[in-house]
Amino acid sequence: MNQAGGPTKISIRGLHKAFGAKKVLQGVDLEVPEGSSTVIMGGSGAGKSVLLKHVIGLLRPDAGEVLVDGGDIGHLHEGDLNTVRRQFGMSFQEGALFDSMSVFDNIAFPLRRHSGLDPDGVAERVRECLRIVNLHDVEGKMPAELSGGMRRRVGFARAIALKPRILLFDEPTTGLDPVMTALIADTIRALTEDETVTALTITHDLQAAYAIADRIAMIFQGRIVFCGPPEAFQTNTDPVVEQFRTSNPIGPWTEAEL
Amino acid sequence: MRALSTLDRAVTATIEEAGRWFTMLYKTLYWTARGPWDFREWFRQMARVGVDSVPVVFLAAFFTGAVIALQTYEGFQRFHAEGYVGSVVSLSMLRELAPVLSALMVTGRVGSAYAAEIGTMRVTEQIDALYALAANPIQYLVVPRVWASFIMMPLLTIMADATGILGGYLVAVGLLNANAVIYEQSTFQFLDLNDFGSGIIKAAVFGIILAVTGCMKGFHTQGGAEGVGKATTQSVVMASLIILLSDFFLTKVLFQ
Repeated sequence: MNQAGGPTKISIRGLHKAFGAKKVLQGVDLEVPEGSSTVIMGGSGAGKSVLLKHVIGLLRPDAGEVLVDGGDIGHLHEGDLNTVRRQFGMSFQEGALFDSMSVFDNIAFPLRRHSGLDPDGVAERVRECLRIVNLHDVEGKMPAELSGGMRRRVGFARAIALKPRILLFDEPTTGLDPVMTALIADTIRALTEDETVTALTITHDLQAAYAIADRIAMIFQGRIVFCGPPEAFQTNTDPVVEQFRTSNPIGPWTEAEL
Repeated sequence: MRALSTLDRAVTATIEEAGRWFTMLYKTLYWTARGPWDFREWFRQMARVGVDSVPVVFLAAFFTGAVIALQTYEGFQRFHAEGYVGSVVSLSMLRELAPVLSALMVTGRVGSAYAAEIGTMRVTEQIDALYALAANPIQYLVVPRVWASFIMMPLLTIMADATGILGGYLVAVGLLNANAVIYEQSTFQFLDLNDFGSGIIKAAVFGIILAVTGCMKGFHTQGGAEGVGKATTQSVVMASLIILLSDFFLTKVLFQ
């Protein structure tokens, strides 16, 4: 049991990852309770996306473990990972839509493969998902015909299509206007109202983080330096957290860049 | 010392590349065995490799057959052996030129496209998205492409055999006034089934080589649009070299 009340859904322990000489993660520890909406914050290049990709097994840890429902994701065989991933939904920074497929087919892709719905059921769910992200009359369009923000929202719709138990969102609101940001934030909140749905969102947008999170984690120099509810985040006096929160150009974030 | 460390780097890179190549080949076989197979996608890819390559392969084979006839007719006339031009054309087309030239043309057309497509999907995170949607990209993208190429390359080669012989015939009989009956006879006189069969086997192997190379290069693309361009170029160079090298060894084995 933990702050949000649910049992631990995702547990990251001592996670290390380096790309060549660049050490990105240097011992990340993070517990994500079931039914919580956790936001991971941090500057560009802090390793947020790398962390998220470990949770779904897109990257393998150099050291440490990533447990989902108590099972270690990091050492699963590719074929078994495929099965585990069916309970995941993930949206990517630029949407990562399949550009050879229409918007409809993009969102229908996971439904056709894994949902067992008939074509009518698939079409209905696709439209429902598009309504959730407030997109209309785009079903037949190709990703290249959409704006960046629209692509992101289609990517978001695709991620939630299968009603997954674990949602991973990589910068879902970056590049969206304030209204759409609020809409996406509300949607993430609404999805995690269901106690069995756990969301892990990456952002560096403070407003979005406050709207989405019931827990905020801050990653700095490859480690989690803060993890707690938004209220605690707002009053925390750790220099790393404080500089980020107050948008101060002077502090550990900028010193680390030097 | 410096020369040695440069050599070390080059050798290491080559071995790593070979490792990636064989891993891609192995994973293709693994995911083929694992199924399920999306035959719709197989056919779509077969149309791309096969049907869409017909014009280039046709032209390449036709003019190759034609130029062999032109060259050898000139030369063979000097020792009154122009009656054997048909044999030279048919033997060189079936055994060597039809499979190799078709493979090089298809490498340029299709292998490069594989690298560019899959490379673009890699740098725009579409490959990651496939994984995340529990669709293995090897199974979804690579398996249909490799088998499409494996199946269609022999068929393209059979067509290239025929067009090459036709090109030679038209030049010899039409342009150089060779005797049509003698030319026809000499075309098939010395052929046996192994000449035809070995070309087909080569073509199938080349089909696998060009597809695996293109997919592997695409799969390991790094660094945005520039990386995609690099992967595409490298896939063509690498596949062409492997095709030419393996051609030698295949010939050695097939005619032992």
